[in-house]
Amino acid sequence: MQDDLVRIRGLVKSYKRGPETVDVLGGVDLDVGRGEFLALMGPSGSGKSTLLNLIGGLDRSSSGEITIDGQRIDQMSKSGLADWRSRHVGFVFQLYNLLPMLDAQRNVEVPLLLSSVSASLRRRNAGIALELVGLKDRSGHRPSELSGGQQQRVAIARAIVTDPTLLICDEPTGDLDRAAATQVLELLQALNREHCNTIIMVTHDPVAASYASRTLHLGEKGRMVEAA
Amino acid sequence: MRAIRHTLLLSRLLLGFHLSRPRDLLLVGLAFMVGSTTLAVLLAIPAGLERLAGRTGIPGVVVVLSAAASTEVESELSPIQVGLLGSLPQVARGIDGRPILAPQFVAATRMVDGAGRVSTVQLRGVTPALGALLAPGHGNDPGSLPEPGSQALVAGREAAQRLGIEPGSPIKLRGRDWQVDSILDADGSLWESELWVEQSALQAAFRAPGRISVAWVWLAADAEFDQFAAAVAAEPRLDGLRVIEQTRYYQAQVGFLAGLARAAAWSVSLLLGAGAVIAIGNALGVVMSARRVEMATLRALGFRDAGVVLANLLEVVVMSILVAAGCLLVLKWTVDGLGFATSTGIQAVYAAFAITPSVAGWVMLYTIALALAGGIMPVVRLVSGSPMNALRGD
Repeated sequence: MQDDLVRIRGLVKSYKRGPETVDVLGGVDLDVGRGEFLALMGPSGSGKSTLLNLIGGLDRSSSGEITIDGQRIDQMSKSGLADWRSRHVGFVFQLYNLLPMLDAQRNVEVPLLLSSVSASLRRRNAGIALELVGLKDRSGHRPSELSGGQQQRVAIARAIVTDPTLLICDEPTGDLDRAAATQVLELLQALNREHCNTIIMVTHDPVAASYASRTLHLGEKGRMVEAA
Repeated sequence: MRAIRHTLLLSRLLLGFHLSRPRDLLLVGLAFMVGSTTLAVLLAIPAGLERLAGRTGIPGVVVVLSAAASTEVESELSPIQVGLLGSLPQVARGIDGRPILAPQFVAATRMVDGAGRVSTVQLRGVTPALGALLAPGHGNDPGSLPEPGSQALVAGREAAQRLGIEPGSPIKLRGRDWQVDSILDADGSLWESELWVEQSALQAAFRAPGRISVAWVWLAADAEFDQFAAAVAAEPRLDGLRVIEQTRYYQAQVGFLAGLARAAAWSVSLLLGAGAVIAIGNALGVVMSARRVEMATLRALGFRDAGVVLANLLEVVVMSILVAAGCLLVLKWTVDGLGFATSTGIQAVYAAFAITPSVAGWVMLYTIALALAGGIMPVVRLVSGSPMNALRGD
C-alpha cells in the first residue's frame, strides 16, 4: 500500500458573499502518495485552486480533515500554519512572485531566513538549488534581468531550497511560452523522479498535466469526475 | 519571540524596498514633515516664553507691589510703605547699614521700532539703590546706570535691536530728548526688553513726581521668604500689598501667555494632525497596495502576519522619527533664537523661539502617534484575507 503523504477526508470550504453562502468544495476525499506528481485539472469554479490553497496551508477549511505527513493541519492556528508552511511546503506561483529588489541568490535564500541556518549555509544551499535548476550563473541577476522561464526556475529553486515535504504549484506554466513551459515542466518532472519530491500542480493545460504521474479532474464543488 | 524575529527579518527586506522604490514614501514623509514642523514651531513659542521667564529674576529678591495690580506698571506704593518695608528685619543690609531695597517707578509707552512698527516698551526708573541691589555678589551686573538727574538711559539688548538704537543714539521719549548711554546685557532675560531710565527724569516725563510702582527687596541671608511675607502681612500699614519672589513673579507674568500659546499649539496641531492622519493613511494605502504581492509572497513562504504588520508599522514609525529629527535639526538651526513679540496691551513680552529638549520630545511623540494612527489601517489590510488572492493578481 502506497505511503500517503496527503490524506483528505470530507473537506468542505464555503465563502460568504453578502447574504449568500457559496460552497466551493462540497466534501472532498483525496489521497496523495509520497513521491507522487499529481495534476489537478478542472473548469473555472471547480475549486481546484481552493483545494490547493487548503493543502498548502494558505487557507483554512470550513470542515473536514487534512492530514499531511501525519499532521492534522486543519487543526492548526494561523501562526501555526505559517510555521508549518515554512518548514514543509514549497510554493511555485503562476506569476513567479519573486521579490524584485533581491537578486536570484537572495530570492532563493528568503525561505531559509525563517530557519536557524547560518548565513554561510544559507548561501551554500541557495547556490545548490540554483545549480539544480540550471541558473547558478544568473545568481546575481535581479528578476527584471531574467526571462519568464528563468524567473520561474528561480521560483522553483526557492521552493525546494528548504527540502520541503510537499511542492505546491499553481499554474506554474500559465504565464510562459511553450519553450519555457517545457523547460519548467521537465524540471518539475526531474525533481519528482530523481529527488522524489511530492508535487501537486494545478493546471488548465493538458500538456502540462501529461508530465504528472496522475491527473485528477475536478467538477462542481471539487467532485472528482475521473482519474487518469 | 518568533513574531519579533520575523519583524526584524522583514524590516531588513523592507529596507531593500526603499532602495529600489525611494519615491514610494515621499508623500508620507511630506505629511510627517508638515505635522512635526508645525507643532515644533508652535511649541517653540511657549518654550521661548518660559525660557525667558527662567532667565529673569534673582533668587533671594522679592517683588513688592500692590495687591490689585497684576503687573509692575499697574502697581503703586506709597513712600511710607517703602520706608516700612526697609525697616523689616528680614531685609538685607549693605555695609553702610542701609536696607538693600530698590523702589522703582515703572511705566509703559509706545514707540516706533526700527521697522516702523509701533511697539510697547517698558520703562524702569533706576536709582543708585537698584545698582546696589544688582551689584556683583548680589545678582546681575548692570554695568553703569544713568546718573541721577541725567537724560541718559540704558537700553536692554533686545530693546536696542528692536528700536534700532545703540550707545550714543538720541531717542525721543514722551516728547523729550534722551541719549542711550549703554546697552544692558542681562543674559537674555525680560529686562533686556526694557529701557532703564534715571528715575526722577522718568517720573517727570510721566508727570508722576515721587511715584513708586514697585519695590525690589533683597532678603537677608538668614531670612526666608515666608517670614518676610508674614512680616508684611502683620504690619497694618502695609495692608494692600502683595509680595512674591522675583523669579516666581516673572514666571507668572509669562505663564498665562505661555499656557495660552501652548493650548493654541496643541489645538492647531490636533486639527492638523487629523488631516495628516487621513493623508498618511491614503498615501500609505497606495504604498502598501504596491507591495501587496510581495507581502503575500512572504506570508505564503511562512512569515507570520504579526511580523508583516509589525515590520511595516515599524518602517512607518522609523520614518516618522527620522523626518521629525531632521525637521527639528533644521529648526534648531534656523528658528531657534528668532525673536517674536506678544503683548497684553500694558505689557509687552519679547521672547525668542526655543527648540528645547522638551519641545523635541513632544514633537517626536506626536509624529510617532501620526505614524501609528495613519499607518495601522493600511498595514492591517496587507494581511487581510488569504495571500493567494494577492498572488493570483485578484
